[in-house]
Amino acid sequence: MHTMVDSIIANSAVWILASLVIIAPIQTEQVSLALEEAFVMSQAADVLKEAEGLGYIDELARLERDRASADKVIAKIASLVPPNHGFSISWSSRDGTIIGSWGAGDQSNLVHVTIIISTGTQITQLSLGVGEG
Amino acid sequence: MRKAFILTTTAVAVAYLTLLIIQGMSEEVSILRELAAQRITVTRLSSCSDAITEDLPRYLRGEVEKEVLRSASMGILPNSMNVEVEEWKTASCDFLEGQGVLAELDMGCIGFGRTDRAPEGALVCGTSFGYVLRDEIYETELRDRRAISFIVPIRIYLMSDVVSGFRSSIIGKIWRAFMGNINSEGDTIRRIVTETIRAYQRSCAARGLDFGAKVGFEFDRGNVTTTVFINFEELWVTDISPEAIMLVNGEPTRVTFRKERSTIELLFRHH
Repeated sequence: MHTMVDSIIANSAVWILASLVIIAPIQTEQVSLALEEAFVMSQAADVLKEAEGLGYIDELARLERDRASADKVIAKIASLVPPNHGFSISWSSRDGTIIGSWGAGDQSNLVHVTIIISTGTQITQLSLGVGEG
Repeated sequence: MRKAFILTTTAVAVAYLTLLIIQGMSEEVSILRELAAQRITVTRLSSCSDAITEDLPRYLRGEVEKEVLRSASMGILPNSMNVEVEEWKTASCDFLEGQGVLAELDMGCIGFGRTDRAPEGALVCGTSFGYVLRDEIYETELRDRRAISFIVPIRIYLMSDVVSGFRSSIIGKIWRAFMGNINSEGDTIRRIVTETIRAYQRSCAARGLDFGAKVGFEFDRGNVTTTVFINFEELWVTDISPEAIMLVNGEPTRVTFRKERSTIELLFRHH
């Protein structure tokens, strides 16, 4: 036969568990989103750093007016993005005029890293967005 | 009454326990979120630092090339005082501000020198660059100062040497010819000039330079003195080595060191 104490203990346990079940996934998701953002951002920064090291950015800076050749350099930069990741690359001048934009894969939830590129005629910005999935 | 008291007390205790657990979880979650946010900040600062330190030499190289082209067309050596970096500093600060980063950029003096290795007689540019990047929210700070040095492979110093050497050589040879024979004829001088130009063309071609000169002369023979006017009408050297191509407005361009027209007057007294 159940006593009142038993039922109080059972009720309390259910109440606490219910609270945890409701709150824990929300908190966990927020943390995992923040950690994922930090990780993807470091991936995007690594891609641009590697592109700089391989001379792709210098090459791109010389091809401001040669869209066809710039496309090839962008393809080389894009090849550095980890497989199965969506990406977008936007190259714009200081006043916001888009010189070129490229992208592939899932374009949602991209994390962007931007660098500055002097081309000889102007100072531009190249933004790389990378997203998982 | 006793039952109600037990129930109420238990409810309060359970609620308090639940709050404690949730608070504990929230604190841990906050710490994790803070760590993630700080990692983002550090990545952003590091990426911004890489971006400006990689781009400054790129910008400077373009500006130095423009100065080399400008000075070569005037037949003078490039002057580092003519290289401006204010536009880049402004653009960089705007770029960093757009990334949520406050920046203090400090450029040292720009210096030009002559390369001490291949390509011989090219220009080496050096400066120092210091920066402090600060994240506005987390107050994370990244500071560094580094030396920047790069070679512009256009042999401007060598071209200047060649032009000066040619002028000295022509003047010296004509001076010696007249010292040897005050009555030297035009044919002799013409031959000296032609041979010297050819010798310089051969020597320059062997070093990847295209040399050209047009030199005229006149005599004024008096009873007491003979004056020789050497007219350097055209005098130029172009660096034709494969690495000496620069882009001007997107167009491949070669640098020609072109000396302005000048006249040298040699006066010989008859003995």
